[in-house]
Amino acid sequence: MTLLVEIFCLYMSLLIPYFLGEALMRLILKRDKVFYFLEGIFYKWALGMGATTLYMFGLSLLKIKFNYLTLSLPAIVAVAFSYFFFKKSKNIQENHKFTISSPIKAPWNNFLWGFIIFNLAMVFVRVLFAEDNIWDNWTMWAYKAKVYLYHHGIPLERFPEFKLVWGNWDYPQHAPLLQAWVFEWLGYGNDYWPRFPYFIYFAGIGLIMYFGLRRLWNEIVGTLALFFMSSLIFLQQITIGILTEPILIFYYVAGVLLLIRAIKEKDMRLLVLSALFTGLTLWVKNEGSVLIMSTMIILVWSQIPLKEKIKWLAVYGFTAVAVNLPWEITKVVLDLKSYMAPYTNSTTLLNGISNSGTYVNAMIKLLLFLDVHNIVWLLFLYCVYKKLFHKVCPEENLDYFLWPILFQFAAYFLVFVIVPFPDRYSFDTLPRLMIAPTALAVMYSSVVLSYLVLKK
Amino acid sequence: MKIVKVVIVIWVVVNFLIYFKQGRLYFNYYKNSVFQSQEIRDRLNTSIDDASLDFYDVVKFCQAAVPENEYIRFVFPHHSTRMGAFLGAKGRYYLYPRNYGDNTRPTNFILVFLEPNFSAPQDFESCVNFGKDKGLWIKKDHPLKAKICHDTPS
Repeated sequence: MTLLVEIFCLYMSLLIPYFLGEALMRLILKRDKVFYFLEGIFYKWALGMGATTLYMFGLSLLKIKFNYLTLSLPAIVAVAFSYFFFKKSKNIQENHKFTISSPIKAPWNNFLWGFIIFNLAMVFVRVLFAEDNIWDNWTMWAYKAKVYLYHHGIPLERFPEFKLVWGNWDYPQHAPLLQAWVFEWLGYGNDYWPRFPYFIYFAGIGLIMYFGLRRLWNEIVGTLALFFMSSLIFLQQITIGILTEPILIFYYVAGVLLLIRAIKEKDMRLLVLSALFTGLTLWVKNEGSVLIMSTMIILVWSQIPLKEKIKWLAVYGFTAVAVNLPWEITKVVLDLKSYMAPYTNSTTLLNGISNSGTYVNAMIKLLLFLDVHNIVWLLFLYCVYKKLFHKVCPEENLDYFLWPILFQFAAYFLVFVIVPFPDRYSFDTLPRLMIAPTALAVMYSSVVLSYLVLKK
Repeated sequence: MKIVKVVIVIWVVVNFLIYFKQGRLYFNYYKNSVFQSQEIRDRLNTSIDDASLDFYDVVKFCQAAVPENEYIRFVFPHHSTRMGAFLGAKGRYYLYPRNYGDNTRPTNFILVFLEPNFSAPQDFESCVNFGKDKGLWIKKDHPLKAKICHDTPS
């Protein structure tokens, strides 16, 4: 296959999910323009990509093979349907005309944007040149993708044999199906083109933070968050190594930002959209269950009246669970257990509690490890101190970020205490779990720092 | 604004220090392989030391010679060792569906790689010799014996 044909196939593999996401957005938002143009592209593509892999899973359950027709027809139908049946509504985004006028003056503003573009370009090049291919990718995600390409579907009947060997067969199917999707469009297994969507997720994390925080607060908050996230070394490394964390964090950040916006604008449609994105975190990795709960904490602590809050929590929980129900049922039917299951017994809880100092010690070392987090957590502690004791931005409710951070620390503490699986304190496991709270810490710090700038 | 400037400067300095570290780590990769063909890169990524440099050629030979409906049992160093885990995972990655699961399916082929203590079952014979402690073994009465065992890789 020539390079041009491969590029065209890759392009189609990216375009189809975008159209599917556009159609789903229209179902929820009608034709309201709720996002800025570039922001909307990332949201629609990511939503469509999640829907695509869920659809592929559904095809496999029904034993329908993947081919160009079965894979592209639903997107075409959905787009045609949504274009014909939804009349134009209001343009909510007209109040948020996009102009760049930052209180941070050049050359600092130019420097920030130059560094952002430098990092995005560098990661793009390193991803495509396959500088790293981390163990988890080629032993799990890429391997499963090749298996699914071979069978043109998920061979669920072989899972009883597959699961006899390590491979995290209880993990959700988004990552392998994402790669298998690209393989199907290429027509063969290629170790390089499926890397491209990972860069899109990586770039999307910072960009949706930029637009979302800019809308909720101001230009400085957005710029700083994009600056920090696009240059977070560990996030870059795991994107280049093709791990699932960039995907997970994109869906998580999207869910958090949309939920905060839904609460502020009292818009149930944004709540549903947020629940879909947050639900997709569990479709990416099992850790998504903690992320779903930590996002719902935002709702619990919001100022919404109690009756309304209960309704919103029910809608949120139901939507997030519904996204994952088919896979969770399949796991039960196939008896797919977590690799952590053998390490849990009646004595581990007591032993774990007595060793909880080890967890605290490991966390402190990790959060201050510059190679992984740069100075994010030192900065976060400084910003928390400024907000609580120096009353910087006292009117701002930053509990949206603080409570989920605390919840996740507590949740992982519980897991590590109850389930003493090997290597849980390694600098392989812990940093990946900490990426989600790090994203929240970046957003929190960006808000506080912006007030320190504007105070001038 | 001053504190924000200090934060930005520290952040950028720390980042560039790490970029230099990474640059030294990946310099050889970019110098030796990034502008090479995909096959050369795959060959480098299918070995973890000098002893396993030819593993890529071995699996590629098996891919071409052994039909997909045949199962190849792997005899590698124990999976609890780094080498064993790596070879097993790479072998499954390249040779699916010729190997999957716990390596105990009935088989007409055995692939031995870096396992000095291999003792062939009575009904198997050596088919292709890849070097010391490396070889493909085949069942004595297999109908494809003449075709496969004739093609010795270079």
